[in-house]
Amino acid sequence: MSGQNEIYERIIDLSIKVVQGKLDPLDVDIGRYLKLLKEKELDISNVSELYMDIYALNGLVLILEAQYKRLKSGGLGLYIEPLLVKLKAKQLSLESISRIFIKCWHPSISIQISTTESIIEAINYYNQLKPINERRFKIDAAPIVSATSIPSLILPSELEDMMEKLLKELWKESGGDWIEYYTFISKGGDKVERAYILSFIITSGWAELKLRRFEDKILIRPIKSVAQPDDVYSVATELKGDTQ
Amino acid sequence: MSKPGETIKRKIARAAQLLLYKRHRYPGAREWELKKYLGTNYKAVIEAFNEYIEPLGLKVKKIEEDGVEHYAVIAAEPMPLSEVRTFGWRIDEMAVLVISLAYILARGGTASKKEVIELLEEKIVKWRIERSIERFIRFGYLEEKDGNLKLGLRSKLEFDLDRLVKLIIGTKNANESGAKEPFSLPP
Repeated sequence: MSGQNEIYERIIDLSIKVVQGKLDPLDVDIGRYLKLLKEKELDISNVSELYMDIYALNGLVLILEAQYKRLKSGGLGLYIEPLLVKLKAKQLSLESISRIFIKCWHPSISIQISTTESIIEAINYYNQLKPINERRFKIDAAPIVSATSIPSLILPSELEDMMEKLLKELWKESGGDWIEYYTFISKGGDKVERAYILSFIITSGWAELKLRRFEDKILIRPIKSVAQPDDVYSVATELKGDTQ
Repeated sequence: MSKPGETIKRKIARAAQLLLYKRHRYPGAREWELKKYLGTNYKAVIEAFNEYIEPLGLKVKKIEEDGVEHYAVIAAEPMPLSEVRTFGWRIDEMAVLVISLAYILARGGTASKKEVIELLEEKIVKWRIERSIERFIRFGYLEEKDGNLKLGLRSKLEFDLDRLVKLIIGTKNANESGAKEPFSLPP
């Protein structure tokens, strides 16, 4: 079946490549493919084959349209080889390219205006607008229970000492291997504080995290020399239960 | 009954409103709008309006897109370098647009966005290229469909594409592009 439809698939694939700009439309011999389509014995009782035939023919039309556009632009003196553009993009400095921009750019002129209708609309909007106090969201949030502990967490004065202490503990616990993040931060002390200090250690490159999304696990391990990875991103961790 | 001279003056003023006042995402007006408000001889009115704005260094440009004529007012001559800088264009943004336009033209009017980004990545960081391309799509210089880039209406209006292609082919380095003014990145 696929062997029979090979010609359809080939034409459809060619047309997609031409439309995507991956193939030069002038490289496609439309006449040859039309002849092949014409020679193919079409089983009109087979709807899927009929569809394929239509799609293939439509593909040839698209290629023909691309060929026309290409020739038209060539006739206007706009023809340029893609390879040459690639070469020039590498060869020319940003300064040279921007100078080309300046020489070809004729900015369009337009004036931003307010019409009577838009002014009336604005007045109506303003008149209907409720006072800002009434528009504000009122959220009945529960008071923060451990509010007193937050200021000390914002930037601990002995941050470096705390980081060093926790990093030593991480080395001791893991022995340089991957261990579970949540198990580690739950081992004694304030869980939030340990997670907070650990975030500085990770950001500084002394430890790294690994996410196992399917297992819903976060692993951590210390690093001997400070890592400078290319792709750094933030990871949100959730802390449940007691913070002590 | 108004005199013929007054009628043409009124029509020229109307043409100025249609072509200069920003009413759409794109600048200027389409053929059908001009026909509707200026009458069937709108081309003569546009020609008369063009004569009015010529001494100001402006001109009416006509382009055709999908079989529809589009008219807009553009600067008759390219802007001096010092003025372009004050328009808020960054040097790398200009480069992104020029290379994108040239590559799209080379690809016969459509080019893969991924390929354009890869092409520019050697000189400009990826996030800046992507941000610039998004900006150009928003401003109507480029169009995106199914991961492919096309020339936007504003590029056809505002760029001398013929000259752009010739300059891309002909330019060898910064000195040979005929630069006289010093060029530096804006602060």
